[in-house]
Amino acid sequence: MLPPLKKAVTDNPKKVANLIDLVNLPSILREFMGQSQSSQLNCFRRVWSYIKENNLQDPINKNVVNCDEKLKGILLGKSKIELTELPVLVKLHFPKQPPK
Amino acid sequence: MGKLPQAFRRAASQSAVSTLLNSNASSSSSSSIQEQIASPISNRQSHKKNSNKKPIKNNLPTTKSNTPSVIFESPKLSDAKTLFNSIISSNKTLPSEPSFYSSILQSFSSVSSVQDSILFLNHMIKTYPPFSPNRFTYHVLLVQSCSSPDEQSLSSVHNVLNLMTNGGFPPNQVSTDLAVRTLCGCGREEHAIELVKELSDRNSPPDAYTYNFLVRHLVKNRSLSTVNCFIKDMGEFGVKPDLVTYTIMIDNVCNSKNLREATRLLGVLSEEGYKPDCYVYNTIMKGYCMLSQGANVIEVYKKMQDEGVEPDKYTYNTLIFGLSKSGRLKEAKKFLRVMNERGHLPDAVTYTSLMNGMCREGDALGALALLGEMEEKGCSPNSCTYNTLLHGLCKARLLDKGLELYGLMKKVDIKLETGSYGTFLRALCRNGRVAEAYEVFDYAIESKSLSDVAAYSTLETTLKWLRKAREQGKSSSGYSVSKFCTWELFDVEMKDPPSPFNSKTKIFPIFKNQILPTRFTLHSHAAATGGLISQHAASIRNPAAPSSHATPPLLTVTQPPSPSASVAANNPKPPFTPYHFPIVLLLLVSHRFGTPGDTSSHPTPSVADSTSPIFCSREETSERTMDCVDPIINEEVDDIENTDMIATNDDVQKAKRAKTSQVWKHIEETLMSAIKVEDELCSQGDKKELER
Repeated sequence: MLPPLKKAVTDNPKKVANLIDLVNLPSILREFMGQSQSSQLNCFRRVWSYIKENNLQDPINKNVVNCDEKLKGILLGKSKIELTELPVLVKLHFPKQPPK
Repeated sequence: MGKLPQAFRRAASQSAVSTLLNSNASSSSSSSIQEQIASPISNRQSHKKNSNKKPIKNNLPTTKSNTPSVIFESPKLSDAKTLFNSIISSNKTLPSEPSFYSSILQSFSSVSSVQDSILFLNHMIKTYPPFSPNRFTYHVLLVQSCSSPDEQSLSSVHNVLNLMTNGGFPPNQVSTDLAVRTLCGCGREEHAIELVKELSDRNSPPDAYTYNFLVRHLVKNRSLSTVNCFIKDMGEFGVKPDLVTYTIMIDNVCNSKNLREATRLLGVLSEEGYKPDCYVYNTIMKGYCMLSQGANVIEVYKKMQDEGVEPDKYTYNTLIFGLSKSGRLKEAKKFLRVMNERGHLPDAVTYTSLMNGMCREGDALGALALLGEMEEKGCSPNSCTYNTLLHGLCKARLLDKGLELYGLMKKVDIKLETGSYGTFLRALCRNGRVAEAYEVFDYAIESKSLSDVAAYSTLETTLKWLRKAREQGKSSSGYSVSKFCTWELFDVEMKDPPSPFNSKTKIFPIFKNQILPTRFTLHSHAAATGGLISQHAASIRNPAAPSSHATPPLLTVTQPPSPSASVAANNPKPPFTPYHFPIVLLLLVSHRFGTPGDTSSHPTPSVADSTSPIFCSREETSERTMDCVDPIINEEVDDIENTDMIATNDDVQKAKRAKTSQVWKHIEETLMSAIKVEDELCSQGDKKELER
């Protein structure tokens, strides 16, 4: 028998749903992702892998990303972002669904 | 036995899929047949029956084999009968053994109702006389009758049992076992109890295995009273619980921390004339481990030796686990030796328990050394070992070692566990290595350690927490980063740092990243008034020393006082002024961070005894200070720890946060007043000096 574990996020269906539900992407993201529907989680992973593939991390401070034009378009037009704020920036494209 | 063969199920599901494909892809019957041939089960003979809409096609077997498999898709009895007839008429060499027909029956029973299955069996017997059902055939029906989860009564089971008896196979222990297991499997424990009692009444009592299975299942899923009632009732049929039963029950009550019941059971056990064996003792020991009662764990061990029960490897593992858990590391290590002497080789579990204990005590380096020792002895660590170590290293703020270990884990493809993943992420972020945290996130997903969602939400909350901390750092008024640096310098300059400061790495990262800014405003303040403080600190350490350090060098504290020793040494009559407040608190804080978990052993009564006006203006101040510092840190740590596990109950969280902020406010107020007084005193002192 397991001790009463602290409830993980994964046990919260609403939170999980927010992350993995497929949503119709706004037009800016659609271009970046190459698909019209995606989840917040996938979108985040795509952005992060894009950063890695194109070596956009600042060579001196790896925590900073020097955005290229494509990335700038989806991340509020910032030329430099910190990795710390990446989840928030991605989340901006996924407004909360009104409760049905 | 009557369990549904796996292959059969697979075949059934596959065929269902292929049929779906058929109806989607094509409507013409010819291509449908082609599809059937191409389908994964085409090597077998497929007797297909398409859904009711379509007319029944003459599904002649495409290939001949000795044991054709039959798949039913329609729950209709008439369809099944037609299919069976077609099989008989089309196959000249039908296998004569009943198992073939049993499997046909099984296939049909997986889609139909019990009643239809019984009727179909009768039909098979009638239309194909060479077939006579055996026990297995009846068991198919029995399992089916037991496996419908929302059946309200046992009537269909009774039907089948009657059928069995009429067919010359009265239910035996195998039937009982099968029925009980199936009933329990679909949550019909009450029916299982009822059935067992009935069968016992009909002279077919369950054997020990069935009985113990049922008891084990009941203790897990039903109340204790139900179980006790069942055992009592069974006693009337002459079925008595044996040692295994008692072990199961003791294990259960130990798991639910009901040691009183466990003791009672032990009494009953010896009353019944059983002598507790190794398993029983291990179970009891485990119970005490769950409660972290180290003393009792050892007592059980001693009792075992008194009774002459030879402890096994599991005993020692449990022992070491329990002792480590309750912080009795020395004894745990002693038993590791004993274990070796007795010829039980310690395994990964043993070492991991020990490491866990060491990490709890903050001795992560010792745990790391143990890993080396373990590998030397040829015992390969498992993923739990690595995760424990990683967690411990990050907790002890030995991130570099943690990273090293992580590299090793990555090399040998060890999965990360939720706890260590979270701790590791936070340690990385705390040290401003966000990019590396992202890499860890990638690894966690790549290695399938965690689900994407779990990995991502931990990362997200950790980063959120980091941002929040940074924002706080920026908004905390007045004290810039340079002040932090001053303090750092202050810390660096200390020579021969005593216990709380023995590891700078434990203190520094916090300063550098301003994670805990509010607390460090205080520190920087202390540093800003360094001259005075160093003087006072010196005098705290050595009351007799003249205040010769009135002028800078600012950082003359060669041996900063530890809260326990020096303040206490200073007890009689310290020149305790408000300046001490920051330094004492600072010591408390840094001490807290320096040697986590150790604080409780350091009493700080002298702080309360001191004549400081601020301290005295509040009751039980010292405890309060401690309490204030402790819960904040603890809560913060808790918060940090739980970031990946946000409680579903938001209200609880809110309340917790509100409480934390309250405590913060309180401590801040206290501090601000202390600082004010201090400032006044400083300016007064300056004036006096100027006057001179």
